[in-house]
Amino acid sequence: MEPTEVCKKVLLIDDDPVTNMINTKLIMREFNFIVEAYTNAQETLIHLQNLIISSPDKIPDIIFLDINMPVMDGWQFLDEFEKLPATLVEKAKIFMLTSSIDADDILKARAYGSVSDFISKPLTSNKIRLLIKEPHDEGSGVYYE
Amino acid sequence: MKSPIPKIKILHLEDSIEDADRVAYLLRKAQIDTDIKVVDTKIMYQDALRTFEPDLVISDHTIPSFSSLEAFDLLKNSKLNIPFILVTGTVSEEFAVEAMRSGADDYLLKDRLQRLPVAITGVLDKFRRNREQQKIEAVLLNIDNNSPDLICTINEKGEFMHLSAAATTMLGYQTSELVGKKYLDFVLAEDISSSTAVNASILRGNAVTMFENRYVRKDGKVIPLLWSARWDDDHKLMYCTAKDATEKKRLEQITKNEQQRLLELFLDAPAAIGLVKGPTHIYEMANPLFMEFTGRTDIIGKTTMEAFPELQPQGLNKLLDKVYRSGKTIQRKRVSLHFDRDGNGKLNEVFWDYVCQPYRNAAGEVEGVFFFAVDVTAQILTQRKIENAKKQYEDLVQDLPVAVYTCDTNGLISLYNKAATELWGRQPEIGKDKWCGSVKMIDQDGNYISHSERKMHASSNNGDSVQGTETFIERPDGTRRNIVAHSSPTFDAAGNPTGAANMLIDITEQKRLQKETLLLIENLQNKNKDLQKFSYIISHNLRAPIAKIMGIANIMGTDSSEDTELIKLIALEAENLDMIVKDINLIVAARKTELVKAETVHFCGKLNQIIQQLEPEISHSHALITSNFSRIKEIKTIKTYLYSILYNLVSNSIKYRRPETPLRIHVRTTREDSFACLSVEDNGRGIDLAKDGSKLFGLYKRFHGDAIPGKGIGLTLVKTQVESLGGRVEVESVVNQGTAFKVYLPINYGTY
Repeated sequence: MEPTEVCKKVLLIDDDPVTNMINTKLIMREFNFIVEAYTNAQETLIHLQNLIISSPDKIPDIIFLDINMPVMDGWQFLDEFEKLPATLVEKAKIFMLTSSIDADDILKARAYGSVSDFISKPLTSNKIRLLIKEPHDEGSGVYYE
Repeated sequence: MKSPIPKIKILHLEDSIEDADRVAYLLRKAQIDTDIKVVDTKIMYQDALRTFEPDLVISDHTIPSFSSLEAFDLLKNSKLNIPFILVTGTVSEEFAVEAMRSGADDYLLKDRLQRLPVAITGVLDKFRRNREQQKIEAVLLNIDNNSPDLICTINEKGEFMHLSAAATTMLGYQTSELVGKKYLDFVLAEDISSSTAVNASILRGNAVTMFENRYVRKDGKVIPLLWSARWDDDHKLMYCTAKDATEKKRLEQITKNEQQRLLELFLDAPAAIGLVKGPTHIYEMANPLFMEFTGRTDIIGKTTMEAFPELQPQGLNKLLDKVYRSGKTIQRKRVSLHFDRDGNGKLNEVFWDYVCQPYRNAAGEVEGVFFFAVDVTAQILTQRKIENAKKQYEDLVQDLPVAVYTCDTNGLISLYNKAATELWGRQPEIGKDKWCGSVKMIDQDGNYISHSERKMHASSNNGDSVQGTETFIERPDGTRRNIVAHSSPTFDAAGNPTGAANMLIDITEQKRLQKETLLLIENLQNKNKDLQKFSYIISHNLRAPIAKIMGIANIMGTDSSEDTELIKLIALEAENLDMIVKDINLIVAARKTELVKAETVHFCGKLNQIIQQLEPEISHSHALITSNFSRIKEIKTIKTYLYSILYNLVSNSIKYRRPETPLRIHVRTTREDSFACLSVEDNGRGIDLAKDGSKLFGLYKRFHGDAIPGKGIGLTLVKTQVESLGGRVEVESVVNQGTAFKVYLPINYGTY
């Protein structure tokens, strides 16, 4: 536990509940963050839209987004996310969290303005520490870790 | 009886009938046939002089009222030129002298009249002679005045004595200006010595004819004269005639010119000319060209047998004999002759067109043979060459593995080769078949094309060129061939279309191969897609469970120290597995570069970035890294690849250093044509290339045991990425001395 850390709100979007469970535990164990996990990107989108109206203070600081998901994949989510009000988009930093190490995926992710970085699974406490240090310049341990 | 002498008409002036009768009687007695008219008055006398036309006047000296002197004067005043005989009875010596002086031709005393016939004949003879003399003189004068030739006399001293009128026309001087002058004064200076010599010879009595010298006319012009002259020693005169030789000279010049022209013709004629004479055909003359053609120099005076022994078996003598005997001209063309031109027994073939003509003398008898020859060897050899070239060309066309044919403007086939008949599957009929008419043509969609729609038709008709039209033809046996037709219009010298030269390329087989190739490419593309799918599976599906295992191991906490140890092992193995998956993905991903954009990359910037990243290792090994990118500072390439390549090579140098030697690494670029050569040289352990060279770039190959960290992917990745960029890697290394990697990369990736 690192009590000095500012309490951040983290949102996990991954269709695999096991992954969500692992990541939730990892974050909860190491950081004093509030973690929320979703297995359906579309539902997440609705949830975020609701937050803007009902309780903007609960808008997440960090979103970990998987790419390959049924119903709505990571890319489709990004497309819709970028249409949301600026208050949301500017506050929530999206990190692609995926098992993919495909160069095409990395390039594609970088093309989205809303994506802060591309992280290869598994998520580790080191990676989290790095990403909460701003700013996120390119190649921060993604390709050659 | 007719007298041989014509009647003499006598006018007798006499007043005494007796005396008149006596005279008539004497004349009859002397048998002189006369016609006598006797008058006794002045009037009758005058009348008789006019009308009687007497040949002779006999006058009595004493007639009343009329004297013989008066009668004599009347006669002299008439136009008659006849003798006047005076008859007198008594006459003094004085009177007789006076009578004779005044012109009476004779006188007789009456008592001595018997002398009359003699006197008459005498005076008549004298008058006849006089008259003849006068006639001759008149003729001579005429000649003198009218002769076109100059007639003159010259005395011993060489002075003109007399000159005919021609002197004026010839020399321009009046004769009076010349008489008494030395002729040499008028002779052209150059001819004086020859004239003097001839003059001396003439004086010695040698008559001269056709002596030519030149005079200077009064007007200064020079006139050539042709002289004949003879010396008259009695009169001490040289008689000369001279002709104006100007015309002769002109004719001579013409003749000379004509001869010169003939000679030139003979010498310079573009034909060999020669003349042989006699039954053995002895060379009388031959022009230089003949000598040149035959290579002979000394044939004049020799028989043909001697001059050209090599031609005898070739029938030369027979030919000359034939012309010589028959007197008929023989003409032959393109006769092959073999001359021993160089006199070494080696015969050279030449071809001559020749004419052999009988040569006749003035009497028309054949004396020899004239021959004219033109060497046509060059033409014949050229013609043969052209024929050969034509044959070769025809053979070439015939044997071309491509169907070739020509047609006229109507599309009628005029020429075709073997390959054409093979393609068409039939032998066309020349001048009847149109190839397109004789073979069915099908378009890409399988429809038959009518004759007029065909492009080849347009070509032969309009002079338009058809290049590379693809179509199908159907042979008589029903098989179809895919062809490409090329048709070029042909034109005559005036530029009118004459048809077309056509080429048909059978691409059936080519098309089949093309299809096979396309199929092969498709298969490869599919395989490649499979590989990419595999890469995708690795990067997504295979990695997902590994990542989860790693995550779980990460968050698992337990009290049992044994379990903790085991969980650490699981986490380690999961990491190893993950690394392998990532490596495989890297290598597979490096093969597909098409999505990655090339950009300008600075060598210096990349090296600094790497030095920064490798900082802990560099300080630990005390490595000194130097660089020189002055030759090539930047290239256009894929940034991440270049980074990876340089990173791997530098980190290799650090890993495989010699522990006891301070590490030196030198990185530099040089230019090699359109490539940049990036070399990384170190003084490390080196690689035994003889032993390990072939495995150097293999996946998971390591050469230095476990003491050095590494997974054996670095060089594999370097090689894969370099090749993906269109380059190559070379390595030079000596064990315990060092290694130099040279990476050749296109300076401008993307144009490759």
